[in-house]
Amino acid sequence: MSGPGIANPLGALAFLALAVLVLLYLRSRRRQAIPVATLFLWRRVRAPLVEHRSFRPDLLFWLQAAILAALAAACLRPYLERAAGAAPAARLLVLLDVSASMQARELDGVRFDLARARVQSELAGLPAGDEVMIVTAGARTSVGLRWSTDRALARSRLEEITALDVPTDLTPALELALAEARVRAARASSCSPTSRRRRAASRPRSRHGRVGTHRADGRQRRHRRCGGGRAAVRRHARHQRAGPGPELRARAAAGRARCARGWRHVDTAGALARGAREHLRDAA
Amino acid sequence: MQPASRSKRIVPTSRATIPGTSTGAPSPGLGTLLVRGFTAERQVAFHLLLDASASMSVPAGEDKLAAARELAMALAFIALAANDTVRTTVLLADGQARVSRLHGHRGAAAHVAEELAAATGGGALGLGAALEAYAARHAGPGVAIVVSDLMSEVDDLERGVRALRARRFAVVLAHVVAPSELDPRSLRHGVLRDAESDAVHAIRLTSAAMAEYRAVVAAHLAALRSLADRTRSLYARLVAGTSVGDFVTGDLARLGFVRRR
Repeated sequence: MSGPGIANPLGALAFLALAVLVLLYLRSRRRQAIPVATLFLWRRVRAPLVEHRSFRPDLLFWLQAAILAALAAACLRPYLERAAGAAPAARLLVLLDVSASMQARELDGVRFDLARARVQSELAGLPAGDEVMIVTAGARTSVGLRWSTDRALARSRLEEITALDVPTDLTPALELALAEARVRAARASSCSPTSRRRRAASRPRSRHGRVGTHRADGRQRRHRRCGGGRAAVRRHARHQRAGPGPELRARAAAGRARCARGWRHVDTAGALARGAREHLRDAA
Repeated sequence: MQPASRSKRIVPTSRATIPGTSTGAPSPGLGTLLVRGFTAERQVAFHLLLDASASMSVPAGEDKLAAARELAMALAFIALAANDTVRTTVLLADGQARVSRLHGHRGAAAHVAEELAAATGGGALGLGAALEAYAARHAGPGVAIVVSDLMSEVDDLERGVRALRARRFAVVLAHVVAPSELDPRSLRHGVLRDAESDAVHAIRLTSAAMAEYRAVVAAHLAALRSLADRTRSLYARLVAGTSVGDFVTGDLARLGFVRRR
């Protein structure tokens, strides 16, 4: 349906301002009565009579009326509804990590199953007509589904994908996603434990100056960097014997919650590009 | 003032020692003939008819009524000073009139002043009908001085004047007029409203209309003068705001209505 419309019909009350303007104009232009001793002499004067036209607007009145009318019309909030063309379809690119790390079991299930369930929910929330592309990233990158609007096909392909016993090489997968992002304005989802490692790297260092991931029991699983020196080793051993403190336990709980999600959702191609660059830097 | 009454008084005018030159009676003396001369003057009853209609109060700022009151008071004082009698009549709206008693001595000047000062403008007045009504109630001989703006139809006014003349009144039309009535240049845009009837007349006050109005006023003044000639009355015009004394000693003296003694 197309045509003009009014979003605020009550705004028509603003046109009463025009009536007020006319009243003010008539009041200001009302002719003044001039008392005279007699009219019989004046009636003998053959002068033109003043027309009984009480409303004789001038240019200023029309200007004021135009301004008021424009303001009143704005109060109506008019709009013009036109038959719009088909909206450009949004696109969702799913980058699914199928490496062995996705087979890890979390508290609420296997990571890969969690990631796949999340992708399924994403697919269910997509409007009809949006295109979906699925890319799997394992030791090799493969395209699970080309751009398609077929939801059933996308769901079946998603069910067919399983986690493999292979290492992760996200670089070619991200490069492929970037290439697709260049040619299409795409939304992309990447499901990979790489992002989990990046979040861990961004967490504050522990009191021993080391960065690590946390196991479910809150203890550090491995150390990327070590402070070095026997004193540091002794402090670490003492810490391991004493068990985690309350701060470490809270961090471990937060880490578990993040790990349970197991994936990260990036909505824009720009963010995807930034993630790819970070990944390439980490890989280097 | 000119005598117009039949009642006579004898007032001394001169003293002479030449016998036979005067009409006075000889007085007895011791060898000297003393002759007194006397001039007979008539005592005149002056009827001052003051128009107090609403038209006398307009235009605002040019109070014709005040000028009329002042003129009436001056004439009354002259009459009283000459031992004439004066009756003031304030012509009110709707044919009403406030008539005073006849004042006959100089000490009544204060009373006359009070009566004239009590005259306030208001209402509509048909001057011709009011004069006719006055003539019906009062008879001459006497002098009827009509102090008014004479803003009425001449025919209507003539009926009143003729009624007065029929009752043996000598009539003096003292026309009090405002300057803006003679030349209405000060009028601005608006609707003309009759002060007495509240009728309105909306015309464009163009320069041509003003010129035509001046011509109409001149014709009206000429008609009034013609009326005075036809009815053997006196007509004099006082412009409000000018000196009443100059009017009395100037215009009225030239008409012979007043003179020095």
